[in-house]
Amino acid sequence: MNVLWVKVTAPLASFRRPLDHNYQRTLPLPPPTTLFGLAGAARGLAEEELWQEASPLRDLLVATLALQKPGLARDMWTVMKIKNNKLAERSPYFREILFNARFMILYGGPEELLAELQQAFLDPTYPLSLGREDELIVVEELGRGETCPGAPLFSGTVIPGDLQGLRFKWVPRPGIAFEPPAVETMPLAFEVDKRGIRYPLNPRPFTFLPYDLEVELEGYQDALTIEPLEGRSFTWMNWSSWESRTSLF
Amino acid sequence: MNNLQQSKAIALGYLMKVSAGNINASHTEGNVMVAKKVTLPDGSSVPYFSGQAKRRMLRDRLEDLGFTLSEASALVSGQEVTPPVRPWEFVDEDLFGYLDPSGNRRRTSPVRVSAAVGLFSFQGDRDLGTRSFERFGQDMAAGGNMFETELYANMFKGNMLVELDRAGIFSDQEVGKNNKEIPEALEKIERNGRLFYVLPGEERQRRLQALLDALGLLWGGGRTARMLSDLSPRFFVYARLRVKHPVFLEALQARYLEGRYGLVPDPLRTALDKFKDFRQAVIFGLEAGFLGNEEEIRAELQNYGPVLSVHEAIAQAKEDIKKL
Repeated sequence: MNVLWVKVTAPLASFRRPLDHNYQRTLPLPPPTTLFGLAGAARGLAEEELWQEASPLRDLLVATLALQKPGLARDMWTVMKIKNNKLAERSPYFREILFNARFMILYGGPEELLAELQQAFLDPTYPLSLGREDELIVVEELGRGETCPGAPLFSGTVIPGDLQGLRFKWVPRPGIAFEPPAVETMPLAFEVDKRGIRYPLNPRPFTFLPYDLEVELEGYQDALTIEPLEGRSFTWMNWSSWESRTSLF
Repeated sequence: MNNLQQSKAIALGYLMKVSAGNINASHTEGNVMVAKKVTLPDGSSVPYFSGQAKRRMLRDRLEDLGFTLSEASALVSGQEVTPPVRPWEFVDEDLFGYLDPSGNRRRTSPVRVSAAVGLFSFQGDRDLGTRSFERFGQDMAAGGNMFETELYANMFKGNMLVELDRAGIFSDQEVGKNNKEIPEALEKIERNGRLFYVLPGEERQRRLQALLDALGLLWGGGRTARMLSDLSPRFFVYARLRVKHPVFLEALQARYLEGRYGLVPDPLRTALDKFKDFRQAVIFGLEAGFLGNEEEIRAELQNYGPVLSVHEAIAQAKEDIKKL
């Protein structure tokens, strides 16, 4: 399959776990909707265009890998609360932030779509960010490639499904601080109403493997690799062999 | 702004010096006011202050420059704060965006402001203070409560990216499709089935120039009563670009040698070379005597654009904006 790969640096990035409120932990890697949002920003798609059923990006497959271990900050924000129709109290909340993260972002799909997207990443309509508008990223390098089968060994990437339901084996390595995986149910798309409010669609469980955690998935058929990954494997987040192509909508 | 189709963005990179301060504090731990900082994979930490804090300071400096901010015109009702949504009137709504919680009107800021990140590790320094009981009607002899504030001496890198094809231009989605308040005098442009309202060229230039002035005057944050810091740039780089990329986001690195700060030229040169085909104007500003390797930096950078003092560079950048 044809792939567009984009290597990016994110000086600051935060991928909130869906149910966190006052203390917002971050996932170690961007979820699928963030990768669609990034492509949409590059192409200049408004939110309702990106998430409509006839979205020009609906045939994209997405994946990502961490390229280094990031730093971590706990950023405190204060929300002004309203009392007696006046901005009165301050309510603190914390947001974890990844610092100096580097990711390889992979898009798979039809040749024409990838060619357009490659051009869009070189000359994006909107500045590129992996979330909040101020958390811009730098595109280090990008290119095209072809996937080939990879070893079922994964680290620093996102696998569709709950790791507990997959036959996995932790591959220990000396000298690393163990960090557990995060399993979260994340949407694959959104529905946007007339007021611009988003509602999650097609939620699926995903396993987010931190950079230092390597697992072997016994009998896993969907491991892929491309040359710039230097032997590391990935799998498409919105693709699973037991369901064939996972529809965005 | 005839060149808008060619020039899509302005990228700004700058260095700020804090001699002793805690610009943007986090929470309190016991009686210690903690500075915002990031823990790196090797266990060390660097201080930072948020893009949000910098936006606040920029807003305040724009007000100093004579602009009226939108906040006084916001409506507070129930649990909602509704902004005025008149970006043609309020520079802060134009440049920094807004969100109207009661309807589908929101503007993503055409000015992206990065967090300011310290280039050197946090050393764990603290300032000790006493909150005297005298304030609460007791004798001075009664003493007071001690408190501590984490503080640092550091150099911070900052970045901004200004979308030239959005500053001073408001889509019907951003201001509302049937908004009767939109001044008739605004130019209207239809593109891809959407209607855009455009401020006059001179006003757009004036706002962008004011943003540069606000950066040149930057100060603010917390604890200014006792730890005031001048956050105006000591090193400044301006690039007008044909693409929207934050060119200098990872391009400013420094070292500290023999009591002086030194700017590492290679990442900056690499970033400028990488965007060679997309940059249309580059201007550098450097405060005399700030960098230990000033001569080296001047020699390296003059191949890319004029190297001036910071205030001259800002003045020249404002002139460059007039060309748009």
